[in-house]
Order: sequence, then C-alpha cells, then structure tokens
Amino acid sequence: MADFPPQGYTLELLTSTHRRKGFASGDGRVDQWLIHKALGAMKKNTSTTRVLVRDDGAIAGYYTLANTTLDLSLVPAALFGGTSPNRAPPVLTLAWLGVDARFTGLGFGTRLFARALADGVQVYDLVRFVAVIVDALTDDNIAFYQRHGFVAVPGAANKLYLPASTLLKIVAG
Amino acid sequence: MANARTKPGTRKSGRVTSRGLKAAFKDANLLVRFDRDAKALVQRAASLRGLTVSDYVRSRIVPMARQEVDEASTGVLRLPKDAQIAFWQALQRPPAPTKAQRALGKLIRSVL
Repeated sequence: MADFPPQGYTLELLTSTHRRKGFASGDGRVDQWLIHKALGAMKKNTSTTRVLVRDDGAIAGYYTLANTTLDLSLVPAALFGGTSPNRAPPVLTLAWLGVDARFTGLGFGTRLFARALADGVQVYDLVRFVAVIVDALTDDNIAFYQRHGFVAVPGAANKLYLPASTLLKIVAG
Repeated sequence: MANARTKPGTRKSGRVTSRGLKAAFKDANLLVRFDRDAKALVQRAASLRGLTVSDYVRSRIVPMARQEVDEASTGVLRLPKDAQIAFWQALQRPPAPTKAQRALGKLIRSVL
C-alpha cells in the first residue's frame, strides 16, 4: 500500500478552487508558476499540475509534467541506420517541482518527485516517451537529481534525464 | 556590489573588439550585477578564450536565451548538433542501472 500521499493530505489535479496565492517555496520562479501560470497551462492542455493539499486546504507542494519533444533533425541519418525518425521523439518533462517552506523537512519534495516519475511509469504503456527530463533551477536542484540517478543532458546545463527504459527497469526491480 | 558593464563593441582604448561577432550594430546596453567572485570568474573565462567580457557574455547568453525562448514557445528541446548526437546515442544504449537509479526505483515503488 502506498504511503503517499500521507495521512491528512490528498494529491489533486490543480483547479481554480485551490488556494495558490500564499504558496511560498523560497524560490520566486517556482511560486510564480503555481500562482499565475500553472492553471492556464492546464486549460490550454500544455501541462498537468498536481498539488499536494493538506486537509485545511493549504498547498504543501506541487509538480508539473509536460509533454515535450526532442529535436533530432541535426543527427546524421547514418546514425539511425539509414532512416531518420519522421517525427521528433516525445519526452516527458518534469518542468516544475516545489514544496512550500512551511512543509520542508517532511520528505515531500522527494516523494512528489517520485510520484511524478510514478505518473510517467503509469502512462508509459499508453503514451510512449523516450526519456524523462527535469529542468533544474539551481545547483542544489542539480545535485538532488544527480543523487537520484539522473544524468546531465548533453549541451543543456540545467537539464537532467533518465531514459524511459531505465525508468521501467528500476521500477520493475 | 561589482558591476560588469557591457559597453558594446569598444574597449577602453576605443578599439573595436567584437571580432567574429560583428552581426549587427550593438547599440543597446545591458547592465548586470554580479557578486565579486562571479564577476572575477566570468572575466577569467573570457580571458581564457581571448574575448572581452562583453563578447564572452554575448556569445554565451544569446544562444542560451534563444534556445530557452524557442523551447518555451514550441515545447521542443532543440540542442546543438553535437549534443543531439550524444543524447540520441546515450538513449539508444542506456547502461545498466546504477546504485542510485536502483534506489530511485525503490522510491518510486513506494509511492505507486
């Protein structure tokens, strides 16, 4: 039985009824996304945000997943065995992850991160992707993702990834 | 607070210094504040490449900004050619999971 979300909390898709205004993670960019942008992106179907909500309505943390694609148009056809893919491979991007400062030290950041990857595992059978990519905003974030086995994306200083096949393998145990 | 004032195209002597970066006339200033250590680091990196701080900052920041804007507006991750090749090859042959990755698998199972 999953021990997440913890007792007294629920994990919900972001809606306009969630009290987002007071969210304060300590990083303004993370807060601004949740307060001003995340809901609009849901309405436009460009990303999905899930919020960890305490029983009293306070948002303890959130994450945003988006479908992006990987441009491979500069890879020589020879490397694909002669035929280049006719469309850019899809990637699952963990675009945002934040925990309110009042809820730090409870392991929520780590478990929201794990839950986002669990979402990836669950959709994989129906909606394929080649890798999970995370956008890391700070050096501490980069260290966090590296500690959990993510690898730097070549040529992108703030992005790390895990191949989809590796994700499935490690979850299968 | 140390400033890295990027006065485009000129050095103290007034010589034009934008070697290899002479695309458009640079008539806009961007004033960026750094802490002293960061500024010294940028200056050192620039001198390693034989560039002025202005040229160095421009050559690094503009392509990065272009990539980020492009990515945000299209949802496409567009890496430089070498990086595309390296990334694609890495995705074709993922190595056996590391200890950290196996631990991550256990963590994911705990929230599934």
